[in-house]
Amino acid sequence: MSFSYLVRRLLLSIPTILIVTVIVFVLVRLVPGDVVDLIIGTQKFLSEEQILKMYEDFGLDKPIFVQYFIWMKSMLSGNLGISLRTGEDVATMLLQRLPVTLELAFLSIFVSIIIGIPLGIISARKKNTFVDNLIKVVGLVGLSSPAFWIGTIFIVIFSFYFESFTIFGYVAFFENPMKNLQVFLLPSFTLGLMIAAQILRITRTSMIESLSMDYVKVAYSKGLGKNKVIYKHAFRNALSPIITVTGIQLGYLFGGSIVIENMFALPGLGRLLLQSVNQRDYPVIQAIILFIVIVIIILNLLIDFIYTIIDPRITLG
Amino acid sequence: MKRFLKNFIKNPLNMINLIIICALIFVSFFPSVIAPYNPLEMDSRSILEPPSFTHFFGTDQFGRDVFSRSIYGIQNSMIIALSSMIISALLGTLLGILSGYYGGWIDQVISRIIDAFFAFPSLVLALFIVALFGSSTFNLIIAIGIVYIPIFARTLRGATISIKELTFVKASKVVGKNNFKIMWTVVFPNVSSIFIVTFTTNFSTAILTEASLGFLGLGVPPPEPTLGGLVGQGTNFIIAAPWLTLLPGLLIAVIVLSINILGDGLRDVLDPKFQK
Repeated sequence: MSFSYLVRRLLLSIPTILIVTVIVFVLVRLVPGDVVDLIIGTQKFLSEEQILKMYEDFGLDKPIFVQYFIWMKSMLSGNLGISLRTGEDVATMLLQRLPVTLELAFLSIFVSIIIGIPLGIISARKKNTFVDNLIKVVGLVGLSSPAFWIGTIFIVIFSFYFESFTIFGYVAFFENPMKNLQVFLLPSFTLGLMIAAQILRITRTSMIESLSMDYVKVAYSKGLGKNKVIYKHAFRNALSPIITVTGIQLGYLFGGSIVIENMFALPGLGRLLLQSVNQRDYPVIQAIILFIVIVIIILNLLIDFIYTIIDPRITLG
Repeated sequence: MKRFLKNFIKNPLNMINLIIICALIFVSFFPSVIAPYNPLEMDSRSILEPPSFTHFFGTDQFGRDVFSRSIYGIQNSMIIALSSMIISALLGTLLGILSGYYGGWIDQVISRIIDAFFAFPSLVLALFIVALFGSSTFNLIIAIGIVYIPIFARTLRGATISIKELTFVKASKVVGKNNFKIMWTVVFPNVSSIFIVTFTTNFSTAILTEASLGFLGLGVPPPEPTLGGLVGQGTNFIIAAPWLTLLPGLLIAVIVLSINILGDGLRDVLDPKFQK
């Protein structure tokens, strides 16, 4: 693994993050009406002076790029602003909701891997047979079905046939682990199935490719058992594209969690985001979006590093 | 081209699918021919009725015919998805070819900006834009249009880089064609198969993005029907009237599935990576 690559990759992500902050900053400022207008709202009795004072307090009288630097400075010091609706500290709100989203993300990825990878391997081993075609169709259907539709199907089935099953009503893991996992079961399957379809497709393609390689034939001719060849040789070599796709899905996961959290009433970041959108609570919206995007950039960076560990062929010079 | 058609027709799945797509296009242009009722007409005598021969998809809480609403919903969803895809295809392709063809600092600047937009999950960016500027058909088109620019730009940039060193591109330079002419008349036709595949595969995800926004209540404002919106509003009656969510949802799945199959079929015949 070349050290210079890691450094270059790290350095390249800095402008990306900076541009992301500019995009978010500019988009929020493009909204007709500013913070002062929002706060004044119906209170039209404020005098001209008081309003000017508010502009000064918020730094809105300064040129836009100065405003950007002030904003960045406070963001970097962990001050994400205050909710326009509740007056709560936005950073605290984020930290409160984060565990729910993380648990959902973790469980969904887990579901998608345990479903997607085995099916993909079976499909590749039985290429062009009935089983393969069946799995391919299942994958394509999974890819095409909106998550919220799969979710409603689950809700309908479970509320009609498993009446004792708790679908809604979030409980923290440390309060009641069993109940917590039960509440997360349907949401993580709903989200996990969508990602499983993607993982399945890429696993199939890259396993077919690696099973046709010479080293697989060599391994067989050495007399190694079928499973050993498939899992130790072929699968290991097929792993990098699978990890790439799983990495790309992390972004999808955050998007999907907005839908799923709202559908299953899970109090995570996605639900907070939609609430804030409906209440036009810009500081919260802005903070959640920035947080999600920066997390994704960092995760992608980590995935790049993981590559070099699992696949020593890549020097990424 | 002949070989392409032959390969495409050989697979019966592609033909069945083509029929569904044609039906979809027809419905999008002439919803009034298919829809038995006015999608906005309320009827207090038939509220939350289950599917029947008079109401294929049942009725909603205002007695509106859900099948007719779904048909008009298809039209709205298709208009939004197609218009936004045209925006992202135009801008994305332009940026991608420019940055791939010129390289150097132009490529650096464009690529960094594209990277930044690419870091946003599509639904998150679309939701952000709609949240800031309000949900109207126009804003939805712009929002989803912006979201898919990076995908076109990245794919077309890669394709351009891979062909720009080839002899025929260099030859057109030697002949003295100007750069814009080369990009338009030499580069673009040679990356057009990749363009078509990118367009189709992302068209289906654009439909899903629009549907998800509709589901979250950020789509075209009511009473105008959209497929995602129908599912979202139906969830309030999920136990009393599950058909309100399940049937329009099924319709979304079928539409996206058939576009995905079309995309896969096109990719198999057009994308050199998938040809033997």
